[in-house]
Amino acid sequence: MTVGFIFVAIVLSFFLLVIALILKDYIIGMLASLGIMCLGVYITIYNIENINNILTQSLATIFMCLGFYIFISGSLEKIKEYM
Amino acid sequence: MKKKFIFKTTLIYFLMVLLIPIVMALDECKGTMLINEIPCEVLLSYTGDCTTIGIKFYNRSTLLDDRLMLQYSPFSCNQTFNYTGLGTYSFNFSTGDSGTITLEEDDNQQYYLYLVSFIIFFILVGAGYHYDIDEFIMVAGILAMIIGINLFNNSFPNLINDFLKNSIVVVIWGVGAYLILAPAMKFFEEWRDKE
Repeated sequence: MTVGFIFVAIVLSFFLLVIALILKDYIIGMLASLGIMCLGVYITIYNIENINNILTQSLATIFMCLGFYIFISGSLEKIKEYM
Repeated sequence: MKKKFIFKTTLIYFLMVLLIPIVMALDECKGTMLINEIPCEVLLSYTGDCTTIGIKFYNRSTLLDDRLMLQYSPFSCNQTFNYTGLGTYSFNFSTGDSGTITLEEDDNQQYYLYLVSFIIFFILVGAGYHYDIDEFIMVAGILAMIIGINLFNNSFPNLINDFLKNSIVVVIWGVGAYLILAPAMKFFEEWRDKE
């Protein structure tokens, strides 16, 4: 019984995102969102452990959009702080 | 004390000896293989020169590869099977022997996929309601609906009862629809109140 590394990577990225939300730390949030975006791209190209269905493709799209949204909204908030 | 040490060392050596055949057995191809057990070795009992025997791999009727066998031991020959697409593969030896290998998906990975999807769903719902981010709640709703659709299409590993499957699909789909509609309704109510 083996767990694919992709599952560990997904859980770690979202764990990082939760930490960023709790601590309200922009840098950790940015890193988490970058990780989530990269995972989205990876799943689009290579699927999840050879599973290719509507759920994996939707997860890939959600990951990319969610990562992008967090990255942009976090950056905007940081820019507003300096303005 | 010394006796205990000798006993422990002997036990470790004994376990090591027991492990060797297990590791070797893992390499051999069986009739049904899981995707994470690939590559594996196709073995043929033969006492002569293995390089005189050819092996052809087929996927349905398509010839994938034509190779020569390699010497595995004085009594057997081997060749590596390294195809990762799901389905049934057949192989023919030039000696006339043949066999099939069926590649199947690992059920555990399906469990993990649903588990990870639900973890993401709960993180999004939790973060969405805690920090009042409507977008997160709506994305969680979309994810729940997709989990429901996927469950309906591909079912759950070892779940044969259709009634149970459909009931779970309806509940998950309903939760997803509610999570999408709730923030939208809130937005429209606020909009109406402004006017």
